[in-house]
Amino acid sequence: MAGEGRTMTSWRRRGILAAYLFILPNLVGFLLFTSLPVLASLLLSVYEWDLLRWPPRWAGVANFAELLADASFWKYLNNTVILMAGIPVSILLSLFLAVLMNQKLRGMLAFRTVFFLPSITAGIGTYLLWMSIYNPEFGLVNWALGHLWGGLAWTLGWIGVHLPAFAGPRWLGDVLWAKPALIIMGIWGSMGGTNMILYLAALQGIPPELYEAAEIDGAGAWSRFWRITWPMVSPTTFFITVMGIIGGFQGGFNQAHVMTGGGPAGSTTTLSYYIYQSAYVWFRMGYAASLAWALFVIVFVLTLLNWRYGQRRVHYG
Amino acid sequence: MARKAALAAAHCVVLWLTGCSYEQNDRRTEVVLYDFAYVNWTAMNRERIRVFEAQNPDLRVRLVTGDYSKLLTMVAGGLAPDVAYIDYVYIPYFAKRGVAVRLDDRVAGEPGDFLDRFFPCTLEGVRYKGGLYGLPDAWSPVLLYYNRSLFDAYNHDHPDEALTYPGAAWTWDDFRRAARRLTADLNGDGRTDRYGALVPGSHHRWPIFVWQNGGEVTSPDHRCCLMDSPEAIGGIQFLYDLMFVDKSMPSAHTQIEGVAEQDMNRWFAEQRIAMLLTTRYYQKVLAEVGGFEWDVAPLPQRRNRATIYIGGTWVLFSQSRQRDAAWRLMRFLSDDASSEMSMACGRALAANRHTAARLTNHPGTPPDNDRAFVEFGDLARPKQFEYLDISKDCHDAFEEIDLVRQGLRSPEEACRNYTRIMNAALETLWREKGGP
Repeated sequence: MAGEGRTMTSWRRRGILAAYLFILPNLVGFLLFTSLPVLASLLLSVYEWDLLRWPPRWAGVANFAELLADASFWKYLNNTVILMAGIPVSILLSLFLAVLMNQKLRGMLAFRTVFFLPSITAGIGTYLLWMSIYNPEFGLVNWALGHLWGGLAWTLGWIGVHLPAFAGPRWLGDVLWAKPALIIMGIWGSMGGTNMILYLAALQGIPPELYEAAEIDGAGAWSRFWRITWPMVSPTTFFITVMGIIGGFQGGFNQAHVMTGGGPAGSTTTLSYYIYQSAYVWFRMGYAASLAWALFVIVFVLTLLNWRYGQRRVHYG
Repeated sequence: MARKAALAAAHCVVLWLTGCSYEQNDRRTEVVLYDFAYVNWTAMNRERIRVFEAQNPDLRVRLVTGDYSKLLTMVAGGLAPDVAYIDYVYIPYFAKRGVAVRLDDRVAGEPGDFLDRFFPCTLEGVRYKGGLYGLPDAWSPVLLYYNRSLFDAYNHDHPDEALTYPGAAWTWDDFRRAARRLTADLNGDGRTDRYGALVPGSHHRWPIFVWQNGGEVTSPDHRCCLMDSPEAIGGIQFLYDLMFVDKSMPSAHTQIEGVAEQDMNRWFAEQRIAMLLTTRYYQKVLAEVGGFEWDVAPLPQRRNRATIYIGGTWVLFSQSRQRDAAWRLMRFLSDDASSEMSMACGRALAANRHTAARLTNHPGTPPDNDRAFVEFGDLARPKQFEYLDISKDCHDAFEEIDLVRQGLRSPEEACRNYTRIMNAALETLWREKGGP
């Protein structure tokens, strides 16, 4: 018996060793390329460093004090929050699409693929496409709006009302329209992607007998959705909301970098783009690190609040 | 199994020994050359290296390509190349931090006319506090590209008010008149389909109009901003009038800094813009476009003749351990034959005057007036001085000009705000850092 016990222990040790060996590459990678840079950025946030002059100059909390007094920081935080306005719309549309994709129809696989395509299309290509669509002079959106306007003008002309010539929004080039343009594009890009798939999985996990029982009790379609579907997918909604908010605060960089340069007049500069500008355009690595940590604190606090209060509305039945 | 392992080990030993023997036999000094990773530039650089190595058998050049982030990372990591090609606006950044080597002593060891080979204005851009920190390679002044076919078509339809082609005698009034007349709603839908002119929104364009109107962006000693002068405001007002009074120039949507440049070039190629202010870099793109006649001309003038230039320069890094060899390479890169190769691959205009002087006009092949880049090049001034320690403030000030293009600021208000922001920043710069 004692020998058998020793063998088991030996097997157990070997198992543990093997497990550690399996996670070792990832652990080393994580420590080297994630944890270390995170710690370095924390250290950097209390220094002033322009990349080239060594050693960096001690700044204490000056970077954080500057951040609080920096009008640009608040302006770009505001931009970031406004650009997140598309998140709830996108979530609802994802659910709507998932409900549609959950129907038993011929060719559903093709539909699912088509709706998932935007999320796997190369980002830069998509942005260039949208730049072309938003082109105020020759783009598709203003072309379509112009035709609608022309039709309306023609119709109203019959009753003696004359509309002025169509002057479409200048979209990405206009301070007022640039953010809505990016929000619309963001909704297009996210409503049919991973969120839709998550909802689809959640919908398929709802026991059909719940719907059958509700139908027997005389519940209508809306009632079934509101009283069964919505609560049953609430854990997914909660997850998507939390991830959406985190992603929203960290987002906006690619769009700003490729489509607008953060303009016009800074109206599409988000915090992540401001961090990039501070670090790699103005070479203020310390200040950029302090901005990154401020962003982390904002995201962390909001996620805690989400967990604290958002969970109450989640149904895990 | 053991036999296989032995075989593999033997292979490793052979490979290691071969590598060592190569290194040991090649006793040439290695010089690292850094340039941007454009395909045709890389091919051209390889050819340059081949010629250089043939002329200098004791040196071997290793070409490294990438972007600024890579270059900065290399410098920060103590692995700076010996010689690199950079935009000249970065000269103050590298010079102030001691990263680039001041070249005056090197130049002093060359024949007395060594610097005469360069266009004087290109040398202005590579100086920092009087010191020379780079040898210019490629550059181009901003000139006026115009669609000659559209001028001809207009003159055919309106013989009584015929437009002359842009030329050295053109004034702002001529430019404005032509822009107005060439702007057209071609399909009668009430929208402009073709604009007469386009001055890109980059902050490397609008200073031209400030200078031409007799104004300055900052004082020569960089102590204060002068954008609130009537001359400077007048320069911005001219652009405003083109956009919002005459509506002969597209406004903000084409003016996104750095982003819409390709769109603008494409629009000129698609004949949606009749006149465009841009550089000789654009010719390589335009040469592939057919279907209409085009040419280049000097910019229209007001009180002064002026334009701006963009370009790149070779710098020698202070981390280099073989500065003599690196200097030999730099000297080669700026000589006549080497700069000829640079210009031939589409790198705009050679900063070497002798090479650029060989540029000839080819009547019938656009542009007829290619030599305008050489003849009017000396009017060019470097881009706005980069105030490194207050670059964020500069960014905020530039946004004021962006707001003019949005129609959300009057030129006067924007120029006053610009001046206020810059003066506050410059005051701090001098007080805390002793100047730029």
